[in-house]
Amino acid sequence: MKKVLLLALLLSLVSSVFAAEYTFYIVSHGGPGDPFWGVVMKGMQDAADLLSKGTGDTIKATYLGPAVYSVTELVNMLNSAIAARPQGIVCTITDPAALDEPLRRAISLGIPVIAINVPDPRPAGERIPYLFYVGGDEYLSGIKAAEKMLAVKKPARAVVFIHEVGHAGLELRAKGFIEVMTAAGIPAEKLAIGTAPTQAVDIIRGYFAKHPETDAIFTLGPIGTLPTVTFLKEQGLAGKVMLGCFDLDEVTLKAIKDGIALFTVTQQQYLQGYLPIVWLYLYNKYGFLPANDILTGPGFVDGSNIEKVEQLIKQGYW
Amino acid sequence: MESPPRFLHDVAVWLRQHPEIGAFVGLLIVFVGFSLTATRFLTSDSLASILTVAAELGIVSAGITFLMISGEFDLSVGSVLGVAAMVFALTAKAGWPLFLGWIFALLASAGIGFLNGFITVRTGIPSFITTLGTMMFWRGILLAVTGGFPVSYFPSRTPTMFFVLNGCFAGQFRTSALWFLGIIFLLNVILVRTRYGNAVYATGGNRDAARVLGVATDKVKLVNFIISALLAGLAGCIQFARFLSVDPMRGQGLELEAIAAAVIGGTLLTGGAGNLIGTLFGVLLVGMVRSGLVQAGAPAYWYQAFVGVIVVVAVVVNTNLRRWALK
Amino acid sequence: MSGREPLVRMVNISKSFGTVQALKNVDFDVGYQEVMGLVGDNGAGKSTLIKILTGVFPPDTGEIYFEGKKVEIHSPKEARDLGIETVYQDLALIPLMSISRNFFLGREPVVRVWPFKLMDRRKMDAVVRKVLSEIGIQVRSPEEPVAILSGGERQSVAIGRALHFGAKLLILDEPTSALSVRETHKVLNFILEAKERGLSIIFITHNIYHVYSVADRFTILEHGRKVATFGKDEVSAEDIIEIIRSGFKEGECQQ
Repeated sequence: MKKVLLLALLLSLVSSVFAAEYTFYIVSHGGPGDPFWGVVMKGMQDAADLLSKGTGDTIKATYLGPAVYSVTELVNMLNSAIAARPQGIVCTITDPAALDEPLRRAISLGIPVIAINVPDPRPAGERIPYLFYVGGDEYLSGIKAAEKMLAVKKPARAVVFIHEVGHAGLELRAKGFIEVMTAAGIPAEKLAIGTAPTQAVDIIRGYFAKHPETDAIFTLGPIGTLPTVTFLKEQGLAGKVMLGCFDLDEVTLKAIKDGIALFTVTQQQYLQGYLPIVWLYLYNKYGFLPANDILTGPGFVDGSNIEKVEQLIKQGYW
Repeated sequence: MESPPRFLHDVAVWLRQHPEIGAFVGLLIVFVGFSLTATRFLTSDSLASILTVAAELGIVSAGITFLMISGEFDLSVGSVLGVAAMVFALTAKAGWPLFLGWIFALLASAGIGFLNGFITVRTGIPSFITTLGTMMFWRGILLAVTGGFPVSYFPSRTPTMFFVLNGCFAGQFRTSALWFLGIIFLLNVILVRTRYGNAVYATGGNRDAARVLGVATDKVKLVNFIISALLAGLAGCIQFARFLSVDPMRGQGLELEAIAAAVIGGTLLTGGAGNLIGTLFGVLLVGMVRSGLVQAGAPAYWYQAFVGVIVVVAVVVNTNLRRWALK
Repeated sequence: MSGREPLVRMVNISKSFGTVQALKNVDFDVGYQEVMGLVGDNGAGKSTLIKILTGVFPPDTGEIYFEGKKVEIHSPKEARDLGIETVYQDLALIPLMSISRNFFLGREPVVRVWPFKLMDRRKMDAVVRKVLSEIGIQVRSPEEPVAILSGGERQSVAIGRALHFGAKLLILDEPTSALSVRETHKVLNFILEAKERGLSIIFITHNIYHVYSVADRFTILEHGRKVATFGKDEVSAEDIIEIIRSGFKEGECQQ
């Protein structure tokens, strides 16, 4: 009996010497209270748990994000993470100028960095030399959204409702969409509708008064989707006008279920928490690296998977 | 000294008592301008839509006008609108009777207004600063409570309460316009025809003189802060009754538009003068400009610039009219 | 000096603000239908005395008697209710508001139009028209803003207001300081007329010549103390100026 116990003790001692511990940080501009980032956190935690269980190594992952949007706070949190000398940092490149110095410092200290959600838009030589980027592609999202609509039918006129002019991500989405439509010979343009819903409906109505043949709309987020859906319902145009949306919220989901919206584009942010943790582990342990950025979006939610997605939202995966 | 021709003098006398005339003329010009240049501007749908936009802005602007005349500002109305809408939404989702939820949202708004007034009056801090602070504070609370995510409520059919607040009738006209016009009328009667209104004008015209003459200026201001916030909350509930969803950034930026409409209508930034009819014209003008620009095919970016120009022009015109009339 | 009890009697009034003693043992009285000039250099305590009388703050020591009865005045409203009205230089009327509104501010007559109590504008306008014509001011309409009135006209309207509402004691704080010669003359005449109509007036000013022409008596304050009270027949304007300028000298006759 004593011999068995001694052997077990020896084995666990040996395995603990060979079992490694990894600490990873995700530092992002998204606050911990935001449901969008809540999904990212779940991805991160699930990856850490799964890896720990499956490999015998211990993987610890922590999420840091300021409660109220602040680049200064983000940089502070990043510096704290770097000071802890983790085995890897995952970061949203929300402000390349502000994040340039700390991230380059981290990399020079031997900490691998993966970018998520927002890439550094500068060309390869100039940009922060993170390993690769995991996240959506705004421009591609616009392109794919337009293609998806064209696959249903060729509209007479298409319009993109932009609710925050000048926002880099939104502008890229609009650009991709309009380029594809224009290339297909369809008149397409942007319409600034703002963030106030009553005014937005009035602007949309005015546009339709001027261009009654419009039958394809692409909104760039829930703030744009709400007035659009309201307008279509009130004017009895639901189903007659193709509607593509962005991101998931209750209004958008209901619109898809009710057949008012064709689809919504998603960036599957669960993967933005999950994949970097897995890759940091694989890179640290075996030196593996993907050949290219990993695009988690555009993904699409439409009539075909809405039921399933709704369930998964409740469980925190979408 | 030669006295001016009788007719001109009469006009001046009338002008002195009706500062809203500048806004009315502006409104006419804009109306005629867009009727000629914008597609389908004169249709019932188009005018109803303008009125709908004007109604929500107007309810907020009416409250702010009342407060400005007594010499104070409320920059927190946008946040109050958001808070009220959110309270209404959350209580509806939690299964409360809608009428109760509505009253609760209004009480919350009035409470915020009371706080604004109490702090301003007690500490003597300019209301511009106080309400700037509360604007940010309540917006922060809104974000914290909701985590940044919108709250939606989907009843199976339109509840009566929502219809009363913002239902559709006669095509595209909405009951919110009735609320708006009713409030304008009511507040204007109080302002222009009652003792309390006299106290409001006095408090804003010269607070110290009013005090010396026995007017309870602190009480007047406190009440007006409550009115301003209450109406902003009402607008938030009216908006929710139609859209059934509210995001935590709802109402941001509203305060400046509401103040602009009041100023266009002849209300002085320094207090002591103005009335709700001017605000009515100012709000209609602002609503018309936005609608008209879209239907005239102008880039929607022009809207901000246009309203900015109109505000400056309106203030210059109103000031000069006032000066001329006093001579 | 009248034979009966004065309208207002302030006895042994003292008031300090921290270490500064603004008033020390001041006795002050004003008779019925009397114009009393309250004079003294800056910092003499004139405005402090008046603020106590109008209820802005209470005295540290002393009593006030009004119409023979002891009173405690806790607020400007209480002072007004007693019949004590004040016309401050810039605080008498609100320029943006109409003459009518100013005239009746705080005491507007109302008409019941259910569910409201609306101001009776017709009555207000009628009264103001009458008062304005009595004063001799020409305006198109009582609804005109006060801003169209000259300084002297505004003072007169304020005095007319006090008269109309049955004030017993009117306190004028520098009523003629910003006025032209002509306007000053008009206002001084109106003060005399107000006195004829039964009003007592406390006239506070630096301009001894102005007050000398209308006052019956003078009270001179210096550094918070009452220096002297003179009847008009006891001093000339120059005498008063001299006393204020060079400070009171012992041996000068005192009441």
